[in-house]
Amino acid sequence: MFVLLMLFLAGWLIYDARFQHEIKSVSIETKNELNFTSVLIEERLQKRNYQLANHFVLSWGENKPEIVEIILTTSNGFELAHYSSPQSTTHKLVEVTEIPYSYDSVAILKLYRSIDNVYVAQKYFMYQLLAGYFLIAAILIFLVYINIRAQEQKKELIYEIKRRKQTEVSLQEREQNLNVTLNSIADAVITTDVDGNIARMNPVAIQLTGWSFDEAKGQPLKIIFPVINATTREPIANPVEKVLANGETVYLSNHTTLISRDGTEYQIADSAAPIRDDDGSILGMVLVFNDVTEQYLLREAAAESKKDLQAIIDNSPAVIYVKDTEGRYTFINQQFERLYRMQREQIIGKSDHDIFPARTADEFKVNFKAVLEAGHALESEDVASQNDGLHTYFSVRFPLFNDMGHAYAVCSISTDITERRRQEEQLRRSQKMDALGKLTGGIAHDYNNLLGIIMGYAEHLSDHLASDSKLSKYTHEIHHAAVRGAKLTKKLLDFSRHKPFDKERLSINALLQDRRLMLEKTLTARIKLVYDLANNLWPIEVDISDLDNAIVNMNINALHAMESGGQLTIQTKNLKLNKMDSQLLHLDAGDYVSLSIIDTGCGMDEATKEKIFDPFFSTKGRRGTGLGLSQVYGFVERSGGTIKVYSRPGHGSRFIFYFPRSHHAVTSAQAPTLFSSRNLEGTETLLVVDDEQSIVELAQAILITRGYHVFTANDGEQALSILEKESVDLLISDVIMPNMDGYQLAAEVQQRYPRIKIQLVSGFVDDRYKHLTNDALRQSLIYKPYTSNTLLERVRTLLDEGKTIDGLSAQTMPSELKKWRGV
Amino acid sequence: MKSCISHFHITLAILFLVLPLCQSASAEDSLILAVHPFLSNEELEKKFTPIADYLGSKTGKKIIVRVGSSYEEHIQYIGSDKVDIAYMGPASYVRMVTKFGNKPLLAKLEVNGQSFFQGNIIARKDSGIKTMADLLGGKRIAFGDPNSTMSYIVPHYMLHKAGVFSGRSTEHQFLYSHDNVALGVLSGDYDAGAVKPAVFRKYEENGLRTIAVTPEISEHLFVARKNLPVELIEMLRNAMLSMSKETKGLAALHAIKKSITGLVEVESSDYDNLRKIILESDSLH
Repeated sequence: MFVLLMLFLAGWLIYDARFQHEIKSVSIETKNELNFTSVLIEERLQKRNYQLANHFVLSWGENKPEIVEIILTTSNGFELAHYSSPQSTTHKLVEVTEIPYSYDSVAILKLYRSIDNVYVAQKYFMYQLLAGYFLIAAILIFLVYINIRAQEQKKELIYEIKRRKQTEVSLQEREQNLNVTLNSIADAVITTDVDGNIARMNPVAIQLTGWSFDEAKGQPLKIIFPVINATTREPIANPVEKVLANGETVYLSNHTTLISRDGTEYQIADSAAPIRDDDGSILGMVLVFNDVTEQYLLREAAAESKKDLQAIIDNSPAVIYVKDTEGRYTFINQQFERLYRMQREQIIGKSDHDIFPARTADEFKVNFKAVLEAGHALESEDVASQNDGLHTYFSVRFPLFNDMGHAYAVCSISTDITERRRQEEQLRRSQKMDALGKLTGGIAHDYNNLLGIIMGYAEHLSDHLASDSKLSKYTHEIHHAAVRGAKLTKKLLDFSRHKPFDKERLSINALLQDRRLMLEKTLTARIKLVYDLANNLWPIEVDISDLDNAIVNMNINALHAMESGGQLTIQTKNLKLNKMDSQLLHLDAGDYVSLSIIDTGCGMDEATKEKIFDPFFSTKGRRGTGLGLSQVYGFVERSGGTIKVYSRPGHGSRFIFYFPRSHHAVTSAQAPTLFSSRNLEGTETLLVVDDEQSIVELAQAILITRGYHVFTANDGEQALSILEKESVDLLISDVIMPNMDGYQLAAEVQQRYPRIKIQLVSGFVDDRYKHLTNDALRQSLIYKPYTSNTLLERVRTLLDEGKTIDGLSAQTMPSELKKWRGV
Repeated sequence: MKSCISHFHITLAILFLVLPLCQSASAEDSLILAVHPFLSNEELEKKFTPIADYLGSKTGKKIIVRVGSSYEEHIQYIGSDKVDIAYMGPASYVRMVTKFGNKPLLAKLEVNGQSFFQGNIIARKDSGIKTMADLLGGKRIAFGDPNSTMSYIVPHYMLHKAGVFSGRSTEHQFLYSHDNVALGVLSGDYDAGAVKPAVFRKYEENGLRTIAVTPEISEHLFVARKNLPVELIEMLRNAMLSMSKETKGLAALHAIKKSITGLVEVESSDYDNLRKIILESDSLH
């Protein structure tokens, strides 16, 4: 302050001295100028040229801007000249001089000079002085500041040294703590320096990487910590570069595999973060990871399991969905998508009212609420429309409960039971048909026996009453009635599958071509018959007469269905049914021939379609017996095929017959020959076995009449005992008998008496023991009721064939029969 | 040799005879307007060139302004018809006529509507001098120019008549300008002085008073060369007399002096009173 004060004082003295000097200089200068000018004025006054003196003064003033005022007065006080500057001035200096002229005159010249410029210069000088003051003051302040700062820095340095000592102590403690902590951590920890080289490793890290710390220290992290993608096995970018470059925390994916030094692989979860100092500068990186191999495997297994579960649900034939308690879909499977033809994205999160028509949605909502209210599973059957018609679903809906026991969703599993329902219906019908068949077959058997007796005796009487035309006519009527009864019985047997089966290999195309004229006449001119027959149609093995009958039956039905005319198309095709197709048709997979009979008639409703194959069901009233389609049904079943019916009211009907392909040669389709005119008499010994005594007696009567010697028996045991005593050439036995049926007896006889020829007779087919005999014996079966001629022809044929028959020997006897017979 | 010399003299004589003719012939085309030196040459040429141009335009002649080196020379040149046109003060005119005879008169000035002017004999108000009688006995008198009508000739005549110069103690000094006279009186160096009215009015406020006024003397006038063609003289006179009626003419007059209002006819007799004063004054010396 003292220095500043002294400086100020010195400055002020300089300022004042300069000012005084300037004023003095101006004053001297003014005096000099005044003296010089006064000489010039004096010269003019001396010449009495007052006007010139005046002009000189004015001119002088005008040419000197610093002159403020000039007054030239004469000795009597007259202002001879007076110049006054138009410029205003603040500070002025006055100088006066006397100008003597002539002998006694003195003029006084007074000059006022402006010294504003001196003041202005002084003002600027003051500014410079002040600037100098400020500069000096600033320098002084700066020096003081530097001094104070130096003092502070010295203090700070002392403090910093102290702090660093404390920090070193603290760091040592922290280092110890850190080591203890790191060594105690269950996770592996690695730290690097700012270049990504290993700085620190804890024991877990040493264990997992397989590197000791001494070996790893200073090594790049990439070498010590090589990681790959567990799935792709591709190397994963090491986190060190990203962390150190960007300062970001990096989390490795869940599929990270660490390959340790010895090649052991660990699934790890890790994170890497930058290490920063207090200023935020990156000092290095810390990497924390742990072995999650076990969890990884569990997670993978869980994911796989979930995937499997999803696959199960998605591939399940059932329609499955889950809704939350608000009725919004939270899950659906692929069947659901297929059923409603919508994608998952269109459904999830939406309610039924968002997706379905209001009526459907309302129904679904009712079911949904019912399950939530009931709190347990509810079952129902629902019908939904599909491309191929209505489908029936069996649905189970049940609430899903959380750990608190509260329902949080409803799950529904709906199974399409349409096919099952159809199969059940088919089974039911099949069982019905079977029961009916058994019933009608049993009746037909007894009835055939009775008819056989009637026909036999009628023929017998006819032979004896040939001379009496009236009685002969009566016996003919009796025979005719019996024949009609036999036809009726045949129809019943055709349906009940107990009909004798005369299977032949044939081409349907050939049969159809042969019957075309007959069919056209049957259909009349108002119905057009169209054949659509496949080339190279495979052969089939069926009873020709049955097929013939079936075709005629179908034509007659079509005729009745097309009363106002139409078209009947008969179509044949070769079909290769795969497993799926064959299952739908309930057939074995393989080659089939289809025969389609398609009319453009009135068609049928579902109820009618269900019953058309039932016996005695007819839509024709009195015109039909109700056995036509039953016969057809029985024929197709016997042939190893099936029938499919497609019909809708007003849209005609399509009956498709499926027959298995035959790999044998084709037999020509010819009508069977019923009568023969050969010699039917003989002298051989015959044994007739039948549990029906009337039949035995009738056969005995027919055969004796033709010269044969005949023994009779009513069962197998009796027959065998006769054979033990008597020599018999031919055994004629009924098939259906108590205790021992005809097949069993035949087998026994063939074994004991191979030379005896055997003819089996039956009222209907019973296949129970057919495996005991050879095909030839079954093929030559005579069905009751037979005519006398049929019996005699067959007997004569067999006896004429030779002493023995082909077929069964002990060596070829089935093991089951041997066992049964104690062989 | 003698013969050659005589031939040379004859040639020179012919040249002297012919040259004035040539000069006269040239004067026919360009006329000289002579002005006495009452101001500097430059100022006078500036003041009189407009009227010269104006008259030139009216006469079809080129008129050149020339300033004499002194009043005497001026009178001499006019009197000897060496200049074509001349502007003259009243005293100079009187002296010129007296010496050289009459010259054709063209016109005289009319200042502020008056074709005559007066002079003032002045003293300081605080001097106690109120009449010419107060100047008797040892006073200092300031005059302008000895040739000046109003700053010397007429007032000196009046003071002399009043007996101011009868005593030897009275002194007078020529200060050669009306302003100097007024300032000399005001500064106290002189007790009285003679000035024209305009100068008196200029310094009146500074403390002057008029102690006597001169008689009316006809104003300054223009005269022509005696041998100038009569038609040309008439043409010049007519032009001058009608100058104030034309804007250009009036402007040319104002260039000489703002207060001039026109040029009017002049007669030689207009200067008879001045002629008398000069005659009497000259007799005093």
